[in-house]
Amino acid sequence: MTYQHALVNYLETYRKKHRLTIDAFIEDVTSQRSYYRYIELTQDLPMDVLLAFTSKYNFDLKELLDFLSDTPDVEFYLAKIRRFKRLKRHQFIDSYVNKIKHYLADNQKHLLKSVLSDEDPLHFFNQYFKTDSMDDLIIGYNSGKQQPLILEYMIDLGMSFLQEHKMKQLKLVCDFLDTIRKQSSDRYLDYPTTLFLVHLNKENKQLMIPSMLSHLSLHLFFNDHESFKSYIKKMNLQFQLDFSSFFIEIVEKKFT
Amino acid sequence: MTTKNWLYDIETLRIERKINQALFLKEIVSDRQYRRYLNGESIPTLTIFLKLLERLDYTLPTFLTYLETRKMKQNQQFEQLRFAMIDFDYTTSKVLIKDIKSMQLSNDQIETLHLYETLIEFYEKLGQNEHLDKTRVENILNETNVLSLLNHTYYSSSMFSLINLLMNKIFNLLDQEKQQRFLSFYLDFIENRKFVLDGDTLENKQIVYSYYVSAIYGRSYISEAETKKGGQLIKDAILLTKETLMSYNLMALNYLNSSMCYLHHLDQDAKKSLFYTFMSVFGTGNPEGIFPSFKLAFSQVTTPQVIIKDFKDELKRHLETDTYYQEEVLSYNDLSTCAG
Repeated sequence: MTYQHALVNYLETYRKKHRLTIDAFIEDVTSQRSYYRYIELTQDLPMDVLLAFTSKYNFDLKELLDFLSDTPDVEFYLAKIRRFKRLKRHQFIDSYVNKIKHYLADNQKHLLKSVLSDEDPLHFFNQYFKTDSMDDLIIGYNSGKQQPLILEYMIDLGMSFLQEHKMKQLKLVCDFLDTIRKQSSDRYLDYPTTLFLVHLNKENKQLMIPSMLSHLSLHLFFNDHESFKSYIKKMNLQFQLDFSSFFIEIVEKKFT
Repeated sequence: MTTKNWLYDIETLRIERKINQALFLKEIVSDRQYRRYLNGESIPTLTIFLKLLERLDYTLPTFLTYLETRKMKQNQQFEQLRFAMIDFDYTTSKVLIKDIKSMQLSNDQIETLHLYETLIEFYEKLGQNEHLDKTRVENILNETNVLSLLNHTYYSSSMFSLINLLMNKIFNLLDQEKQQRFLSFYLDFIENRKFVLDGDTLENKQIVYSYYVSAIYGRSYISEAETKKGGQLIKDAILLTKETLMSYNLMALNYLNSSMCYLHHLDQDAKKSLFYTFMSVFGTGNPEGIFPSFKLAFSQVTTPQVIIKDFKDELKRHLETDTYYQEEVLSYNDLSTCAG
């Protein structure tokens, strides 16, 4: 009945805010007698009544339930913690940990511990997912399960393949992230993905340079610890190009 | 969206996972009753429905995510088109529209495609004839009925995005009364009279801040109080991106800061935020598509020569000095000096 309790609270708050009478509110949805039983929690709310309310008042049921649920979405916060750990924006991590600390299962506790201590996150991710197969995880992602965690895992995996120069495996990760970012409003995904694209296309300057310009720009906003000056210098050296000249070239071309 | 369809999805998942039906239903509902649900002769209660989902290792939110993901895969091209429109990438948008038109579409999708085509055409001809621009804006307002959409209290994020997309393209050409309506629309969210029901609360807050500030600064006259509030919201919204990571918003926010500063000859801050505006544009990976709109927008406050020079100067500063974005934002100017 937890969901029902939260839902009827939501429905009643909405009704009162709009100053609707019960009759007007439930019109074409349910009877007054039944509605009283639902709000008094003496009768279970049938699914079709719930759907009729969501459809009549344009509620997004999934988000509504996420919002009203007493239990936080633990995996969503675990993924956020991993991301903000990577970004070194530690000031947000404590509040995420506080939100989930009373709801963690044992395997989630292990994962959180490893994420917080930065000890081999890939290993603990594999333990948590009970697989290290990329295909299985992509299938899992497509089925809508563990999506935020799988994304963070893929970013870590890509970074590790890049360090170990495993370009074939990096391409698989990059293809996955590149597809997801095009369908997503999560712009952080662009930062690691453009770096992977730069390395995968390093022999093809026409493809590489736009990805690098995007990556270098995002570095300004997603890295508070390494200055733009130091990072662009490193990239110029690594790729033997002067990337700042490409920024100027495009601005001159577009504003002249 | 019907319970019967969802029960079919549950049944399909059960079969896919080869779970014995008796075991699946044990202590939840009888086999006979389950068949009645599947046939649409009876409706399960929420509790029973949730128990069935639990047997499949789903909660209601994760089950709906599964359905959404499946639907999204079917509509992948449509999603790509939506993002291309937001990105001002009209070349890609046109190609996608052409492809999508050959598919079987719902009425909503046909209407959305029509709206996108109207916006592309509007944008491509923008600035050629002021009188025609205004007429075409009136047509868009009538076709989309957007002004009446502003009167709701609760919004889904997709409706909210549609309003934002329209506002973004036509605001500067609206008369004062209509601009004021958009301004009040965003202020209602800030002051908790309107609500976006889905999506990330923090991200929604950031979007509202950005559009409110855009609506303030998009008008010809700005009072001192509004400028002060807008200036503070720009800073707040930029600082909020540290957690929301919404780098796209930085493009609009820094542009607004920059154009206000150019207008009021606060040159140091103008070029600082010009640089960050342009770097946010590069960050999108589509500078070719987006820069023309900024060229047009900045032309109202400064010259192309100044823009190129200021960008180069700022880039040089960032190449010679260790700079950190979040620190620079904290020392942005107080825009209340720009009122009037």
